[in-house]
Amino acid sequence: MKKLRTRREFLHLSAVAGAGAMLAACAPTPEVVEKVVTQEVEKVVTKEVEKEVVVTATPVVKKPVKLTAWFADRRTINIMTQEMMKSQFEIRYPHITVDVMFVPESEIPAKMATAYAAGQAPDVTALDEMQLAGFMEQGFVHPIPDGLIDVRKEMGARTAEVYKIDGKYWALPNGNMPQILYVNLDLLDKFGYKVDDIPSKRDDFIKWAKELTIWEGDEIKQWGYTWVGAPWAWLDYAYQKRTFTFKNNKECNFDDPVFAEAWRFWLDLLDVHKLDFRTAPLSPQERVAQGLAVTGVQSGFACGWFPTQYPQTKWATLPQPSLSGEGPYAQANDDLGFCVTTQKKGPEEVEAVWTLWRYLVGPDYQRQYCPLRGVQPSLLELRKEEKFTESNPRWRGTAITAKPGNYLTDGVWRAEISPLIWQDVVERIQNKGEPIEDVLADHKAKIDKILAEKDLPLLLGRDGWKAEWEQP
Amino acid sequence: MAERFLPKNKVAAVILVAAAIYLAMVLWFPILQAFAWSFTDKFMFKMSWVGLANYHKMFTDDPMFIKAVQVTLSYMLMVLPIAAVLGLILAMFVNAVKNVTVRGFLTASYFLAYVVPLVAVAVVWRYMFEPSRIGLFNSILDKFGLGTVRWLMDTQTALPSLAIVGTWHFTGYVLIIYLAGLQTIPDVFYEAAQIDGANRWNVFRHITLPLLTPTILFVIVIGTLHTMMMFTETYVMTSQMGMLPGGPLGSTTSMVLYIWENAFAYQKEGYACAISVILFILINIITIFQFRLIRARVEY
Repeated sequence: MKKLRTRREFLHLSAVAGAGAMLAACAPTPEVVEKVVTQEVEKVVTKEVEKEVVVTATPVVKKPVKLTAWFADRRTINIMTQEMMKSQFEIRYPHITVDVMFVPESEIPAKMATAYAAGQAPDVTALDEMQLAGFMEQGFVHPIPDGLIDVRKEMGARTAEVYKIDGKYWALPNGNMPQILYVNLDLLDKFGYKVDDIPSKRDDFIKWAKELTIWEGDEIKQWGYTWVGAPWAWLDYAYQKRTFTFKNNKECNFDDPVFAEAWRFWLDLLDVHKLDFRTAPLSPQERVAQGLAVTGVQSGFACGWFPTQYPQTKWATLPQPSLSGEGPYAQANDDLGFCVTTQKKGPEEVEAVWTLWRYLVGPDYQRQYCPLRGVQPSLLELRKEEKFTESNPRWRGTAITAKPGNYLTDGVWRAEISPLIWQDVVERIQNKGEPIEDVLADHKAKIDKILAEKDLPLLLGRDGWKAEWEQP
Repeated sequence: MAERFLPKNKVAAVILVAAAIYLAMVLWFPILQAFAWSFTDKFMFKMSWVGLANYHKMFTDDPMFIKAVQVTLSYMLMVLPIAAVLGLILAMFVNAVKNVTVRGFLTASYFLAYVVPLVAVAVVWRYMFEPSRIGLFNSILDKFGLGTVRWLMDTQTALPSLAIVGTWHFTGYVLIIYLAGLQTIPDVFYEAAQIDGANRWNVFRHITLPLLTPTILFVIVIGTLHTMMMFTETYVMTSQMGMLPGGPLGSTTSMVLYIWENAFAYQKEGYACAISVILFILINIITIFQFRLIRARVEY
């Protein structure tokens, strides 16, 4: 039998192995070789990405650059992004390699601060709209160079004017996300209706939805229309009456009687028309997707959610029913946006960073991103493509609501304000039965106090909105 | 000088010094830094001295902070007594089982609740607390004609719902501690009591309980720390899409969750540090009080 090694010998061997591993890890990186690029590539990509023929015929000699990009962690967009980076961007720009990281959206600010302190901030970052002001304040974001993009021409007047801060652009919205009506087509068909039969006028819609609502005891077994679980839905009544949630970036508009009227309307839907109930399980889009509800209201993000979570469900979308049957139908808040947060200084590296940024806000990437995110593209040329028009039954609600004149938006507020205009006000008025005017007054005071703390350049409110933005 | 504090064995001394450096870097320095930041309005990289402004705001102008303190103390008062008593009862029951295999099985079964990751546990409990009839508890209540409860969706029942989960989770740990304590009590006392004709209640009251006081003190102190640091249950069970956890209306917002909200959701790091300092002081006060109250009665 072979003699067992002693402890000393074992430690000796381990130390030698460890030292060898460390030496290997500390070995110098291989010398960078500049590449001459001239190639023609055709690649068939996955079903989420349309077939592309990419031709780079001009011979160029560029220094290889490695970039890091952070994206908000959303599974379908993650997969698409990795695919697009490899199959399109890095082939089109072979001197640029992109290291893509997917970070939970809520963790991006804290991680960014750490990365920045370590001198390793990502070169391009996907920001939530509520994070931009903080990032700008910290000096993390670089302004978009003049001439890189004609915002007015490519994205329209509203984007061009709203997102110009201190004379510069810092980030641009990918698109805007309206509140829309989701329809379960199988259930609709079961009742003998077609999508075009669904009334667009609110009073007619309520009557129609009541016919399809079936109660079992004190719970609904089948909904004609459902919204409980979408705490932002109540505001759409006010937007349909052209009433903004904020007067400007210093004052909330809850003292406008329309908001109290909105609450009386929603409470009537619950208690008089009995279209929904307070302890409804799941979310509105899940009730629609699972065939429990014929229609339900939810933000446009569910357009990207349905195909992956409930691929067997046949569904469509429509604008929400309104008083007149015409717009404005709802709010449609912007989905921000890619910004440059690089700490690189070399001119070739900076050029590569802006090349990546321009690609991400360009039509090739946005064409794939917007359907998965559920936003109507900011890029006007993309809005002409069929899948982003009302002729696409799944996109009809988004396409119509996101048209100029059919939506309103206050802009971007601070994260602490969201509970005060959504979940807390719903809980107090809808669930606890507190007096409507008292709750709205109390919340207005709290919101105004938060607004007084800091300037919010992207919060427009009623005073910041321009009528010309409603012209197509 | 160093000889007074370090062992003579050089290897031991090196390990101790290395451990001290590590603790200083990852524990003491961040704690001291948090104390320092609590006097600033730190927001990511921007920071300026504000003195006691954060503390002043906390106690005079932040009803949510007061609510978070109330929620934390309420949660502690709901979970700790029940877990401590229930754990003792279960430990005595398990201790009385003569068969080692059965005893081991029972111990493992109860301890499993503590071992399973709390995040996974909270996700399952959340479905059980579903407010409509599809939730497990409501379907049972409905079967008996008792109607339904809104559980996590009602300000009156949300925190007790979390307390149920917390008690279920913590009792297993308490049982193990008590079991160890019970097994240190010498049998001679029980034999003497038996000879003297003491009944079970007298045996428990005059022998078991007094000799278990060191263990009870430990359970209460650890239980206080555990319950006052409540975060996972409320974060997982009250999170809803697009909304911050801790609802409804902040009725489940513990101090730790409020610290998280301020630090990571609002990036008000200076203020979050100030709340952390208050939590630290509060836990210390309660623990010192417990020590004084219970230690006087500790018997060995």
